[in-house]
Amino acid sequence: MISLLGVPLLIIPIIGSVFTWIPAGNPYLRGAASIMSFFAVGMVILFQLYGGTYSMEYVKDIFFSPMKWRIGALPCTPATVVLAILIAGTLVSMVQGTLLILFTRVILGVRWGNLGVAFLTLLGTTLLAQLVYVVILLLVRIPGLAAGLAWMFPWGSAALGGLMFPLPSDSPFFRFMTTYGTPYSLARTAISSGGASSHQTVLCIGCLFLASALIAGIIALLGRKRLA
Amino acid sequence: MSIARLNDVVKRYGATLALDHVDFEIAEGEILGLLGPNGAGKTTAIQALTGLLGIDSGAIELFGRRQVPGVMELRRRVGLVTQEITIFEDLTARENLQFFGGLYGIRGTELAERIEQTLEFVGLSEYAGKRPKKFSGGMKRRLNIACALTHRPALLVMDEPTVGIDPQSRHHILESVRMLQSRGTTILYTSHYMEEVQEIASRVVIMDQGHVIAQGTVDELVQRIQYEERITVEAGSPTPDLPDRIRALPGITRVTMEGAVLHIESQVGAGNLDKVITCVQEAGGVRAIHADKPSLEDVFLTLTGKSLRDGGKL
Repeated sequence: MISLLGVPLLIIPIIGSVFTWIPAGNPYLRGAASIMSFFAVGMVILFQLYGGTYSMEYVKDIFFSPMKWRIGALPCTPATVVLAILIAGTLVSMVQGTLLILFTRVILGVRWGNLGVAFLTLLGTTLLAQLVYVVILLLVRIPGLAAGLAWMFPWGSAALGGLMFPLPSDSPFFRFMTTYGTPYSLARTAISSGGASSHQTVLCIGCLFLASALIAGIIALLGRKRLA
Repeated sequence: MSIARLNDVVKRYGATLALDHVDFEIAEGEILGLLGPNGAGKTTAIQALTGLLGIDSGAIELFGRRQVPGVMELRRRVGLVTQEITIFEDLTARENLQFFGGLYGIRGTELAERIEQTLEFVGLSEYAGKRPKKFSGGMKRRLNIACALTHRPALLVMDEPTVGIDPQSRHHILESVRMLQSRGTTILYTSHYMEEVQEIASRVVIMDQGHVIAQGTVDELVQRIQYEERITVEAGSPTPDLPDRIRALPGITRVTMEGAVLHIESQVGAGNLDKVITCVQEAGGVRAIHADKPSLEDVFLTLTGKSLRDGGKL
């Protein structure tokens, strides 16, 4: 909790201050009002994606350890336990994201656009991240390997979404990747177009929730076999 | 009256037969000791009984209902003390009981009262607000037991509850088990410490390599082995022919001599103690004498040819 809240609180102002030489019109910033706004939005999305580790850790601690026998003997199904973990993980991560949005908006003057869109995007991103981490664990079934693979999800998603370094804007592939190609891109596009292009906003948020629903279905199928 | 029954239960893991046509039952109000070395199938039997594992064939009956994985009504009446310590170390002792008790559907003041009673029962009242991270092994074991008691199960299944703890904690746990039985709880107690089982169990089931190899009361099991007693005699100045003279007595099955000490095993009903003493006195006098009834360890050794304490290895 502390690292997922404290680290972005430290990183965002530092990076935003160091890279002030990048002007607002630079293609790297993809229309963001300032480098601070670009990094703040990007880092918050990145840490929401990383927040899936909450659910994965609890599912691992309960179902991939002797605790599974104790939990298995309780009068509740594994599906109920996993659902409770996912809800709790999503709520905690949402609280963190909300605090980050408020901090960056009030203290750093970051432009989040339409706040309703920002929070809805945050919810979609958070939910997807919790589900992705759990599905990776259920697919791999080796907690160490799953943690390694899961780590690639936020960082790969953000890198291909154009957070870490500029990607060629004249390439259709990279243009697609930075706009719709990864969960990071979808969240970023939804927030940056929030209030301006409702079609694009709905499309991006819809994709995040649709992907969440698909992965939830996979978890339900896998969970019956692997957590029973 | 039987509250649980395993009938011809078979469970396979690939080519390994973990439960090989296992039959036993648990009578209401008794402490049934389930004995066996590591790998005997005790934990698998428990997991099948509690509905944690499906079985390949046979039938399990619990409280008059067929047990299959996922029957919630049966889970509410059973408490499971796992072999490993399965508590949340980030929660306090009280919070652990709140969590597990709450999942059994107990709420509000009833839950709060039961938690205090349970903590007192396992001797952890003064540590209720502490996190188990800093508990000793024995305290963690007691909390592990408490987590299975808050909902007051009719059947408590305890899988090796005293592994790796100090004698005081072990004593406390055994006393608690007796007290639970006196309050009407039926207990299935597994262990590979035969002294514990011999001390508390009303009946004993001995398992080895997935089989039930014997069951009955401790006395009944002891009657099954081929000697009535072991006599250890320290002779004053034993003559070389003394072992042969004792061996010649009717009913004597085995005689060994180490220095001046003779180890003698005698058949059921032979009543050889007096005759042995007479023999030894004639051969130079008796310095010391000790007669033992066979223990569960002897029963196990006789039935399997293996030592229980060494995990079933010779």
